[in-house]
Amino acid sequence: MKKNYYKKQRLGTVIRTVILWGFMLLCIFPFLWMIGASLKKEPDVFQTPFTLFPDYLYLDNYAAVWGGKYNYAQMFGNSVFVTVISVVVAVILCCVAGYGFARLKFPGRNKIFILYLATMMIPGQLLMVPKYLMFREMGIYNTHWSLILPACFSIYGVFLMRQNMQQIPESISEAARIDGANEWQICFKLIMPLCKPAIITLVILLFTWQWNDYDNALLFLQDKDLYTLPLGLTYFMDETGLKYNLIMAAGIITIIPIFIVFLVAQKYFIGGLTAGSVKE
Amino acid sequence: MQRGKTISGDQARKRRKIKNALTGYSFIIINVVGVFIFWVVPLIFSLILSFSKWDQSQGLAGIKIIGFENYVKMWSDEWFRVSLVNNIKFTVLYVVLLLVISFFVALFLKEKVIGKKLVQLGTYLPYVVNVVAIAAVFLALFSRMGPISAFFKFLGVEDPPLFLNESKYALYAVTVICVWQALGYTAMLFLAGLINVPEDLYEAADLDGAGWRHKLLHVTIPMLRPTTFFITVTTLINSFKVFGLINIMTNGGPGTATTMLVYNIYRTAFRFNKMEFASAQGMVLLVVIFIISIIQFRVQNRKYEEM
Amino acid sequence: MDMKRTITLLLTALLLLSCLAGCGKTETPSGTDSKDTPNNAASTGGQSETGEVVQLQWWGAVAEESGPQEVVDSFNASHTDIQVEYVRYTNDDAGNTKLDMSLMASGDADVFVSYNDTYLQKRVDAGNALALNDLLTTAGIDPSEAFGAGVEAYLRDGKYYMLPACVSNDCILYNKQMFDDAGVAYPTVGWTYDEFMAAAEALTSDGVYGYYYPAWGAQPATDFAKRVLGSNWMYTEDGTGVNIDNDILRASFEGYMDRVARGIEVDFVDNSTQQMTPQDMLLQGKAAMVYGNWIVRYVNDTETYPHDFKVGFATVPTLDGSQKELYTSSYGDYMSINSKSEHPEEAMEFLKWYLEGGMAPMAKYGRIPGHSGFDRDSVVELAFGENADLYDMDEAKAVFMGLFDVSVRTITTASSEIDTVLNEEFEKAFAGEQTVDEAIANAQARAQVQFEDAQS
Repeated sequence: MKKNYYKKQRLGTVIRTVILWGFMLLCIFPFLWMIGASLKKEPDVFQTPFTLFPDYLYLDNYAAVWGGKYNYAQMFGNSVFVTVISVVVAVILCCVAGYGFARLKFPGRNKIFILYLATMMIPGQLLMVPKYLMFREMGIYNTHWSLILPACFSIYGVFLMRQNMQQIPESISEAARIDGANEWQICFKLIMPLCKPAIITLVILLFTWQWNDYDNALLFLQDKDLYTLPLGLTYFMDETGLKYNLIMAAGIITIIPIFIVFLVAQKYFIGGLTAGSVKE
Repeated sequence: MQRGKTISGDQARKRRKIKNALTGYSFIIINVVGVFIFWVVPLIFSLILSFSKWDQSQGLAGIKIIGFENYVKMWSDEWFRVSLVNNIKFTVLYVVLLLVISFFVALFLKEKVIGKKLVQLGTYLPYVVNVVAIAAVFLALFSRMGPISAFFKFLGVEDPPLFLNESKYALYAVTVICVWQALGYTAMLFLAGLINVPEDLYEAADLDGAGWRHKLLHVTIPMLRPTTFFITVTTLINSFKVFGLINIMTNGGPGTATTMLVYNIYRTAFRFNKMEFASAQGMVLLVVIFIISIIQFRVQNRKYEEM
Repeated sequence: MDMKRTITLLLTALLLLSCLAGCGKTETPSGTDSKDTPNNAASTGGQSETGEVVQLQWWGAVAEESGPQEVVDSFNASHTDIQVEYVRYTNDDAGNTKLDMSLMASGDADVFVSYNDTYLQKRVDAGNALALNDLLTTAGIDPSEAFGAGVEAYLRDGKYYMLPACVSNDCILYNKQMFDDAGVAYPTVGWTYDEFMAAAEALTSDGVYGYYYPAWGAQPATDFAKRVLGSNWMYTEDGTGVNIDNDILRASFEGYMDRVARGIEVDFVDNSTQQMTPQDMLLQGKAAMVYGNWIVRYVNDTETYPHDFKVGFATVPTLDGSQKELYTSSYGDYMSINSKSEHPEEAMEFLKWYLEGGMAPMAKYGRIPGHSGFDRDSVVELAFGENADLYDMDEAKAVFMGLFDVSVRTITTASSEIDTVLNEEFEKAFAGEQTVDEAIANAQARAQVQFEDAQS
């Protein structure tokens, strides 16, 4: 009986593994194409018949992108600065506000939250002009704060944290309140650690968005010294066409930090699995 | 403290209530102020603009309120109508496909899988990859000489359709690409929710001798309700906001087959230079999604309280 | 545990403080005049502190390294009282919007370049471009003399709102070797559509297209009609309506469909999905003739595009041969001064310097100066220089740099909307989902609606 059970378990693992690996291969295909294109000479990028990788080794694209002419190092630094500050602040603010909306009772709570939802629905493109005018008035146009400040207040993040914090049984908070803990202590010491998977997800998502944010950088930055990476990518666009090999090389370099964040965060993500089962 | 003794229970309750309220507000205040400044204020500008005609030669002073004209006009605008229809088709397909597939991916990922980390990273990748790259690679994949065509020929289809370039199929091709792109991250959201489902509930179900189907229907799905609500609402919103791929890959074509709301709004505002008209369309979009979300919100809250 | 919490809270407070401090700091130069932020001043050696040097911003969409940086460096080196900073915007919807918003909000962009008539017209209509007449008189510039009489078409109520830096000729580049091998005579200036077709047919072979035109929406089908109807081709002659349903456009459209059917031109869908470009097609020997004067820079780049044939230049053929006007030459790079600029005189000084000679470094990146003060031979030298042996230089001078009457687009009513309609309807015909007649009829009806809507 028991042996059979394990056999079944193992079979399940194999099936799941095969399906998921198939899925993953589909998913990484364009990424492989990007790597391939970044190693090709310009005329070979859209060769027919379709090829993934070139039959020669050509690293000049990376050299061209990373080389001094495009000042990639500075843009990289700018991106790190903008992204790290905004993600750290945003995550803390989202957790605190999410806690307020999910686990505290106060008049107008649901009404304010519904307004939040509504605000999230407006297409960002429509806010471009008013934001531009406003940022000039605030004096943050053409500074990194024009990217950082709006990103510190993620409606999406508040929503995500609220939903996850709702999932945690109220009894946990009650027990702490009886022990004399105040709401801030409960939020930071009790609930937030329990929401670790959600917080890590939020970190990964916010990092991805801010790191890749092109529209805002394009509109609100003017000095070349301030450019972030996605804006730098436009450097490789000719007036008459896209140099795909260079764009892809730049794209690969851009993805690496997200890779690292993902891998580091994932450790805690998987760790969250055990923490979750231990907590009861 | 001394006076506290003399205060009646009623007052004390009132005081506690006020204190609770203040605590609540203190948690959300910074965020609310920030959201107000960076989202609500520009939104109000857009709202005003939607009721106006803007003579840009006079700067902001050139904004004149004209009432509902923009709102009336849009219903006879062919691009708005076609983009609305396309978008609704897209949304239904996209939300259903994405939710179902990513839910099962997350479910699988929670169990034992060989090379789990790699799978997670791999499925998340499309969300990170630059949209220019995605557009380029899919155009190549779907082209006449590309692998997708070759695959259909291999299956014996003599003249396989060019899915992205035929009005009949283009919207579906775009839907598939969008699902593919968001799959990894939606699965990650589901996974984060799944991990939080207390393990003892499953253990209890195991003791009752429940099968996987029973556990799925009576433990996983009910416990996951807040997460599912979150994912449904955000996916729905995102489905109405699809833009980047359309702008780079199809330009709304062939014909108007993949023209969708935000792409059309963007085009109206910045290519056709009709900011006011675009704003009005944006407001209608906002109201539509808002109503859908409110309905979901009500349903979810009721069920949540029932539990 | 408590320690951890304290640290977290401290960090939060610190970050919030730093945010606020950041705001406060950037607020001090108080908004509108970002020219004076320390950042910019530093980049020009801090001279602005003396208060005598005028700082100008010049907004353009050409990459810094393709000329502008060289131009700015040489201007700044030769002028002590004016210093120019080049600000690059991207020439797409978002980038142009950024420029428009900047123009609406401030005088930051003292000099700005518009790259097509629709954007130019929009900026003139919005009151963002300064009427240049007084400044032109003071500077001693007579536009008609400097740029040819064609420039007078840009007068709006007797005023100039821009000066065109470039003149470019639309032309076909061709592989001379292929013409020789097929025994086809080289094209002559003003050749007709029939001559063009005969050559294209003879040059088409397995794996080689006779002619290649980029997959730009409806343009593969409309291009030849444009050469007959002129720059306002999509409107009726009196400008009161849309003129898409006409025999010339139909002939041009059917000609394109015919060439595709006979394998002379590449199928539209393949063209767009395989990201084909004229440079690849010509220089990899996949097409004998390609449309696109801008690909000269790729011809020059023999490292990326090694090729062993000479490249010739031909005018775009005329549909019937009887016409005199070829409509191939047009002005480009419209330079305007911001109506809110605080330094219009200095801006004009820079403009004059640029147009009359300062823009020379741009020529080798394909931007051919339009000012008559440029000696043609020296421009040829600038544009082709050491690469002259890659081309038939006689044709380069006669066609690529030839002096034709410049045609100017004067009507832009709903032009973006009409372009979109044309793309939608024509692409459907290209894919075989409707006939040429249906496409033309639909496009005419829909474009007319947009036109009338724009006029009301």
